[in-house]
Amino acid sequence: MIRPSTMTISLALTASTTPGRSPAAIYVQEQAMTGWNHYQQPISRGHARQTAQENLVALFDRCAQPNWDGHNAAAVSQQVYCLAYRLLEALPPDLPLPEFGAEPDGQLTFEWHRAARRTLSVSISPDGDLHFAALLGASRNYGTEAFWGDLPQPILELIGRVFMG
Amino acid sequence: MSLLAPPAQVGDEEPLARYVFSADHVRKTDQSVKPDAFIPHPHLDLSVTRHLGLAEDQIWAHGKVVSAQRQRPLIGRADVTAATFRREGLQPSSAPVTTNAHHVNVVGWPVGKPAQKIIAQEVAARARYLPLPAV
Repeated sequence: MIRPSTMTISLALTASTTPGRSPAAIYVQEQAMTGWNHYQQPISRGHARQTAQENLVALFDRCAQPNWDGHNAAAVSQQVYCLAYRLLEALPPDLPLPEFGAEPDGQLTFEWHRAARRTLSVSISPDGDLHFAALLGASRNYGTEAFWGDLPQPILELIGRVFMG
Repeated sequence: MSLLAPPAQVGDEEPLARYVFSADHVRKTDQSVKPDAFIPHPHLDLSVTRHLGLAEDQIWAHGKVVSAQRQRPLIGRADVTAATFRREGLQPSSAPVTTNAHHVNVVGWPVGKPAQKIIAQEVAARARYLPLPAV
């Protein structure tokens, strides 16, 4: 895959800024730009996190083109990749690292999985929404949280419940 | 492959195969299938294949036909009973196609992504994943 330069992406993202956009939309765009800049830089920090970052980049490369599944899957956009990178960066250091995946609608997933009914999946949408679904024993929990640069508290609590006990 | 078309009604206990073409849809930790493999797209339906009347090698043969159509390597399949889908409010509906008389569309998916995800979670939790056997 040919990666566009940081400048190209920054210009593209900047060009999409139009007067009257909501603060939320502007924030998501800023987060995406920061994430894209990270994509262009050498990977650092701890070994496990470095491996996770590399896995995320590799997944993005596999799913960055439309029809990556041979069944009309939507491409994972740079916006989604950048938000995913920011979410990975936002995970507290003592938290287990997730396994990554991609859905055919072009969203990346973070999964914390302990067993069939101790599992949490979070999808990252292009507009910065985190759609989550968890099975915790007999109970289930699902919904949407906005990503504002920090891991939303309800999702943090669900991760804790996956690994609790 | 079987030349006999199965009955139109999909029985509750019938196993249905969801073919898997992405290694990212299988957990590295325990080789189970992820919910990502059951998210419907581009339409609100999910393609699966009935086992009914098929030998094991015939079930895999159908997957290889789909693999050729998609031009993606078949890596495994997730078997789920029709009752599992029905429990989540979905309807497995027989939908034979030229290349697969055992084809089923699972319809009735909600539009909202979180609702789709929790259904996909429940289905994946009850699925049995089988990697493609080595030749």
